[in-house]
Amino acid sequence: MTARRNPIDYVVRYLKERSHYRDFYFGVILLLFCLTTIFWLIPAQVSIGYLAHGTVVGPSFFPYAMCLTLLFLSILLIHISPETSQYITRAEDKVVSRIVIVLIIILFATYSIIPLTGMVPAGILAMFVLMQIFGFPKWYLSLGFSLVFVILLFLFLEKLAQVRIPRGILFDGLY
Amino acid sequence: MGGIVDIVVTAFQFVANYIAEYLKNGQQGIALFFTFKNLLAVFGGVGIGIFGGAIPGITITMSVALVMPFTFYMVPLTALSLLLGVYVGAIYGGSISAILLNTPGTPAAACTAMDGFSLARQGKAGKALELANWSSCVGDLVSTSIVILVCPLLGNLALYFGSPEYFALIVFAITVTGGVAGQSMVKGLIAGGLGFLVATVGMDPFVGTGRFDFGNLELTKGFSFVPLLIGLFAIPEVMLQLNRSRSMKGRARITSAPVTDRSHDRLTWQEFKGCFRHMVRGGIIGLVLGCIPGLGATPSAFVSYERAKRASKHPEKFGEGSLEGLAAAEAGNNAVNGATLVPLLTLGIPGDVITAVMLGAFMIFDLQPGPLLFMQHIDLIFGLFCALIMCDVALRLVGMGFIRYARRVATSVPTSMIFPAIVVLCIFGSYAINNSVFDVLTMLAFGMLGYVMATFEIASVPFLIAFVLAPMLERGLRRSLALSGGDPLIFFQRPIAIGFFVLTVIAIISLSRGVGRKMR
Repeated sequence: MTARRNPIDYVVRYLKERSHYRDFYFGVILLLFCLTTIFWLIPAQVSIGYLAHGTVVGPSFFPYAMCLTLLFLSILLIHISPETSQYITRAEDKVVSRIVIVLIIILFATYSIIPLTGMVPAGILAMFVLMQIFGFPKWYLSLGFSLVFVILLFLFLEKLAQVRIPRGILFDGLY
Repeated sequence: MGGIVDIVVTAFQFVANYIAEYLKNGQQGIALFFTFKNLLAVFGGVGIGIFGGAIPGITITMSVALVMPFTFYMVPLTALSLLLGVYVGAIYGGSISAILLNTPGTPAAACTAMDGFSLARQGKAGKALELANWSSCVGDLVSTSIVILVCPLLGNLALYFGSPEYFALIVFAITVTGGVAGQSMVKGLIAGGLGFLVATVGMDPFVGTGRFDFGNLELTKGFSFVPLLIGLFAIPEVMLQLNRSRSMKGRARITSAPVTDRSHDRLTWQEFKGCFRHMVRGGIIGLVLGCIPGLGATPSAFVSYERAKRASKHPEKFGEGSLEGLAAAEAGNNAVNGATLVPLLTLGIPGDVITAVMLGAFMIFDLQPGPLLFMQHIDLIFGLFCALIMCDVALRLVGMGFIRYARRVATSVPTSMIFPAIVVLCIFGSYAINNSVFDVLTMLAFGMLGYVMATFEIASVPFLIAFVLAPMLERGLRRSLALSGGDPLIFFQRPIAIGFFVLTVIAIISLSRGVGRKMR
């Protein structure tokens, strides 16, 4: 007589098998996101309930419908992850490389210095640093190119398209 | 007998009225389009598109997305002409790097690379580029001419569309765009679902209360389309290119053999004549496949190539530098330009990512593509038709100039120069739309999302299409239910709505069969 398998063991083994596949992680993240949205975000952020008088279908109908659909799809993705993604090997298991993280930091740093320096200096700095990261050979040429490109863009937007580009606290009134 | 005569007379009257109406509208469209600004927009757009398409790594979508913020200060026809020009130019531009570097600038140009690169290695790069240019023009002109003749007929459906019909239409549109879901249908559906969810952020269109705004005034307006588009398509590409540039050393080189005899590198009249039938066939194939939402330029190029191979007297030369193969691939590839506009203009369905972008551009100008556009803005539609024809003229003129003077520049621009410039364009472009720094943050946030999606091989196209269509779907459903007092049977009492639901069921069946075949 064979011993009955414990359901918890079965679930643990099921999840362990799938944890070697990249899509499993996306499925889990999506599942958690859907649960958070259904049980916290929608009740907290969508003020009128499922049915609103006069409109029959209320503002929360679509968010709930979409979250429930995504919840189902995330479970499906976890289940089929061995078919949709490759087995993760040690060399591949880095989803984001170091250089991409540096790029992300530069992008957000540029965004955060805009109120201080304005868009033109922030743009020149970002472009110069990015050209160095991308491996442009001569630093003075990359600085010159960044200056010319951003100033031309600034002139186009300000003079032709009539868009006022933010000057920032430091350079307000200078140009 | 009398009955038949009546039918013939009625049909004759219908055709006569249609032609009279057509000529009148055509005159309005010509008057609206032929201004210096519109012509400049078309020629400039084609030039930008060719340059962008020729640089490996810059996709058609990225080219259109980067130009889009600069169109906001133009009148709708000028802006749409510019975007059309970029679209047409970028599809052709993809063939330049395919021929010279064996690196298709766009996925649709992959077929062109097979014969084009072989010709370049034989020292016939000039001939290949010239033939690609002619084929693009002829293929696109064939399909555009048919589109222009037939498209307004479909516009007459406008009179019969109410909220339930719109809802059914959008349901159908969402189903057929399942074809752009990518490798996995589940991942495509997830991308679409996320797009829908993101579209609900902001003010509710009926009740006027906020959804997911976290008390932030900027979020009550919802996410702007253009920063989202730029973030989703440009930033992830820069990140992926950065990864690639770290793993590659040196710059891509043009590998064409030196031209020893200039006369061998020019396209002759005999060669053009021999390829002409393949160009026309490619144009018709592109028209048919381009009208089907979700297919796009890549399958069209391959089907056209395959048909040309079967019809050719020298099929053995295909893949080894066949002029016929190159002509068929390029014609099929470019012929979808006008054709993809058919479902967009007549039904408001974006067939691919570019038409989804175009739909967004229409909506920014408060224009709703679909049946009503033909009733309210027929002059604009005919103006766009003029722009499409002029795009072909510009493609020939600008294309030839580009081949002669700028091809080597475009294909040797270092990525270390082009991608940082794109990042700066993204930042300034996102800001310029609403003069809002918050839009820059939106662009960066969706850039991160796009990168995560690309890493997990989830297509961004369903996300974008769902984001564009979601407000229409929600409005159609809620308005219809409000009209019927909550009775869902309203959707099954109208013949057009029933027709679209039947088509939806057929689309679901054919898509599931496709998925089943893939899994087997």
